[in-house]
Amino acid sequence: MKEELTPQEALRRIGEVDRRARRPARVAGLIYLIVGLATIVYWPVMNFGPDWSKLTVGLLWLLLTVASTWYLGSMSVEDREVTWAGRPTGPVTVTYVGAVAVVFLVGLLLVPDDPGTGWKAALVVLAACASLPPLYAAWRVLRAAR
Amino acid sequence: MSHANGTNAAGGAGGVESTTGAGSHPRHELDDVIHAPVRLSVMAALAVTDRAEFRFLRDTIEVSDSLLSKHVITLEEAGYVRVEKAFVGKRPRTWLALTDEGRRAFHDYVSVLRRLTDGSPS
Repeated sequence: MKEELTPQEALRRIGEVDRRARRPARVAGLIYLIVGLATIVYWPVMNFGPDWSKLTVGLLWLLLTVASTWYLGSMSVEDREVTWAGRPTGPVTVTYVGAVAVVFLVGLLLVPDDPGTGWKAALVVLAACASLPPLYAAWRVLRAAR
Repeated sequence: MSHANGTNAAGGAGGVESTTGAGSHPRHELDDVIHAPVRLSVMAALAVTDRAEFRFLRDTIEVSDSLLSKHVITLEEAGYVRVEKAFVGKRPRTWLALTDEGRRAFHDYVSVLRRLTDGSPS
């Protein structure tokens, strides 16, 4: 590594290291974004889709859960926003788990076997609402990691 | 142009003489402890995180364990970096974080750099 730095080189190096050091937080932000978007798709498909699509999104959901848990758990950097978003008793986790439970119970107990457009629209809206906590987390993490 | 007689961490052709003491030119305000490539990289990486693991810093800065250790000790002795060792299962993990003083010093260092580069071609 070069032993002498001009001010320009020093600033360039800071910028470069800054970009690299923020990368794990950016990936974490993208994971929250994917989880949010996947939530909007997952619940309507699980409730109204054909069997093959239920199996597919079920497997993808499992894969996403394992991959994101592994990545967030093994991060070798602590970022304030990622830590905030991932706290088990934090607002993002608590609201998300609560909202997902509501969508699950509505789909299980209230939606009839042959649902009309109204029910389908209602479940899509509920799934979109449930996606808000991870999408908000993604926005906060990505904004901070720019 | 006069040069102060303090410790020179970065002097030489192409570099900037950074000193600890006299002189009104901004270069005299450059912190010798930070103004070295590896230490600067460590400070820059820690400045954007709450804390980072040793191996992450090593891979990010692309230096050997021993070289990084040497510079981390210098930063720790200056009071800029805090080192925490912990075990995850049987695996030892070393975490590094900037102290408040280190964060302040890095902020000041970057301010001086910006003053030095303002108006100069990059």
